[in-house]
Amino acid sequence: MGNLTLFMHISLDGFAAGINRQMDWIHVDEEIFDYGAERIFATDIALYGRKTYQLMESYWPTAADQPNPTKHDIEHSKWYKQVKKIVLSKTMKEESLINTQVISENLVDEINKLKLSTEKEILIFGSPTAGHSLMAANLIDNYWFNINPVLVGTGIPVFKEIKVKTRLSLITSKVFSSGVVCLHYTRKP
Amino acid sequence: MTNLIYVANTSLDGYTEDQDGKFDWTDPGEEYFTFITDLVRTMRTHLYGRQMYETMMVWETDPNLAAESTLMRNFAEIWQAANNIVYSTTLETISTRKTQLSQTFNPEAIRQLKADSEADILIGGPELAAHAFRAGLIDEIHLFLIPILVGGGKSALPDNVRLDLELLEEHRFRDGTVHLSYRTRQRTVN
Repeated sequence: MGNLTLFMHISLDGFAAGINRQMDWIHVDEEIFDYGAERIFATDIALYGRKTYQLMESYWPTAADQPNPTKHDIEHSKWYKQVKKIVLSKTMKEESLINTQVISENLVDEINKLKLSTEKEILIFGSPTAGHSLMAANLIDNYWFNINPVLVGTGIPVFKEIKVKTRLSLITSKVFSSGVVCLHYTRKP
Repeated sequence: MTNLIYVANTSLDGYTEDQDGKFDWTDPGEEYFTFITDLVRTMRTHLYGRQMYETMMVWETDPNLAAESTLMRNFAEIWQAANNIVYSTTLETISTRKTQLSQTFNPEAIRQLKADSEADILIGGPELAAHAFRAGLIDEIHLFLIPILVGGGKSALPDNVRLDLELLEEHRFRDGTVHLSYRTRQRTVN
């Protein structure tokens, strides 16, 4: 059975983005990309909220074709173009999209169907608002965070709508040379 | 010049206590006690808000607590060795030695304390720490990330404080708790 993982770059004080979706405080580099790459490329299904999906669509499909693409641009673009995408949105229409399914209602049933359709990890990239909906329905199995050494003060919180005290197991911890700390937790049964 | 160091337990979703005012889920074990005793040993002055003081004072007022184990006795000893300043307008009686009460939080007085002190200063309690953060007084943050989501309660870190940090240390405990420590990079000149 597949499991759902929230993968996010976050501030120490628990924000996914600034109040106007600023993410300039998020540090990413070759070391961080390389560490996540293997795990990302092992997945067949990527899940997004509408805004993050639109952000991804504006960059990744052509990232490898730009002048001087980085190794990360090339590899991640290749993976992105072929991965099955799920978008949580009440307003987007599926018809105009490629290899993309829109979930607009029946969240619990649709996500459970998704989990049954694969043995692999389903990764939610960023997408804090979609993350909140999934937390409210108790559907997230794993949290994979890159914690940035910064207090942002206000913004879009990582966590919202946690209704049940949830014990976690720490699976991995990793410190990057930039001071970003990666922590991966799974929900205890 | 010494450091003002904020130490707090926090759930992964950022709370030092839950909506019922409880923190029994922090469940500190032997490894934690050993670690925090060494951490706090060097901090000879403690600044507390009323609630945190009332939580911590049992390390002096309840001898049964210290008697429970060698580790807990060690922590009790180092806790009792420190000087405490409690910031509260509602607390009327002090129950521990080496403790003074202050009714106002005065950033200048704290700066003077840092200048005069020979050892690092611990600050405990998120509301008091928030005042210190806003006054640009905090030099280090030590968080113990407990592997739990509690959904709400008292936030460990202040609202509306923007601060760049530098990671000092990371330590993973056997039970999944993670200690993260950071140096603050102040934007304003003190």
